[in-house]
Amino acid sequence: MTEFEYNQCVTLYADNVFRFIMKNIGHEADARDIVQSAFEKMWLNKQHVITEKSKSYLFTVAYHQMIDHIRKTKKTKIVSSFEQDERVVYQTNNQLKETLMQALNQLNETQKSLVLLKDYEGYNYQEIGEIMNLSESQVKVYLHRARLQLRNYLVSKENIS
Amino acid sequence: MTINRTNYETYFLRYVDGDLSDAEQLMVDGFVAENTNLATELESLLQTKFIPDTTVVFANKEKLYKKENKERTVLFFTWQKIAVAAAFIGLVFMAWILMPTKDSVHPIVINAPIKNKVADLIPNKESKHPIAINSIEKNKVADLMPTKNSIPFNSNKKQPIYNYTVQLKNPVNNKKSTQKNNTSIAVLDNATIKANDSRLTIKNNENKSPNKALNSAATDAIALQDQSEKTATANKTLAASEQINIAVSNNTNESSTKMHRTVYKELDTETDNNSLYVGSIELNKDKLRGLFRKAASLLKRKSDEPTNNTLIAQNNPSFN
Repeated sequence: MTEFEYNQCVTLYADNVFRFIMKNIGHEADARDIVQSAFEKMWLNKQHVITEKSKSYLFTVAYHQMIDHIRKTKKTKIVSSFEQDERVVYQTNNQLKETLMQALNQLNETQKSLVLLKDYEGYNYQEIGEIMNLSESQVKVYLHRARLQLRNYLVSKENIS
Repeated sequence: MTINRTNYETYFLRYVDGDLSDAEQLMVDGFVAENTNLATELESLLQTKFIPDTTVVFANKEKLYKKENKERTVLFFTWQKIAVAAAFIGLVFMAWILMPTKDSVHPIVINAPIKNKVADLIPNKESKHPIAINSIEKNKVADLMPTKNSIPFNSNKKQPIYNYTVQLKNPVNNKKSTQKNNTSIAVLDNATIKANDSRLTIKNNENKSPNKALNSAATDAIALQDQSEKTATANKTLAASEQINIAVSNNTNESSTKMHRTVYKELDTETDNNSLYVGSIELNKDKLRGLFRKAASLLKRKSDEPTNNTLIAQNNPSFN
């Protein structure tokens, strides 16, 4: 990977990785640190990184750093709402989206990452398994359980409201 | 495998994940159309699909952009400057160390030519070229070198030349040994005339060198003359030896003059200022002078070793 290709990766994938980490841990500053660390690592290993797999590499590094960060901080507190920050632009959320985000925060870290990697980035089961060090069947089972859990949350919310 | 009421949930989940083929998607669509009560379930699963929130972006991406650091040339230039500075300092230091001074370097320089001249006076044992003395000019050692028209030189006659030269080279140190080893000197036929010449030379130089070492050398020369006069009548090759003696006397005269200079300058060194300033650093010359003296003594010892070996060989009676 050349310097130009690395900078292209920054342009193309920095937002994606940041979004993925941000939705997982719900803390912008930590998410930024993790993203920066991931890109720093890719820069240091740029000679060994294949450009075609740079996105996958970035998500893999960011995901594992995120897991390490969660373990270190033991941050199991469920963040119900994201803090407003001037550097993050938020879209006007509708009710369903807010409810869906609340449902996402009910999931554990693995399920969250599975759903986000699947929906946000469109990875297939195999690619998600490579990023998260899971088998394809594990990804499939864990993801389906997460979907059902989200659905149940949404249905229950609808029933309450 | 077809979709039915027992496995429809798996198909629905794969449908949401987009993991179904086109045929399987059509099959699911047909199944939902046939089972409308399950359509709401598929709809609720589809609502769990997240849409990327493009409003969440990484601000200040400029921090992530990298540029290759190409400062190696600057680093190399810095190292180059350091290397040049170190080399310059080293050269200055070496020049200061090796720079000949009036006092400390001369003894070494003077001893070296004496050694060379002594070596020049010794004909090569392997070569049978006779030594010819074509001229008696002063300070011409080249005249002592072998030539084609030289007179045949007996190997016995080179011994006194070498012995006597060695004695004059180190008059103080070899004084006692010369006196004790009278037999080796006495048996040498040519020493008589050499001693005469050298004595005259030393006497001529006495007014210029009021030195004890030189006086002792003169005393040795006189003693040598007395010893060698007793055996001078047995000399069968007097004509050839006279020529050699003339050359040796010239050489001896030159050697004794240089030796006088050496001793005199060593005495001068004691009155010099011992401080030497390099920039603002004051250095003691005596320490370095000690090193020079050690080096000179080592060189002298090395130069004496072959001389002693030659003396032993000369004491062999077969040469007489």
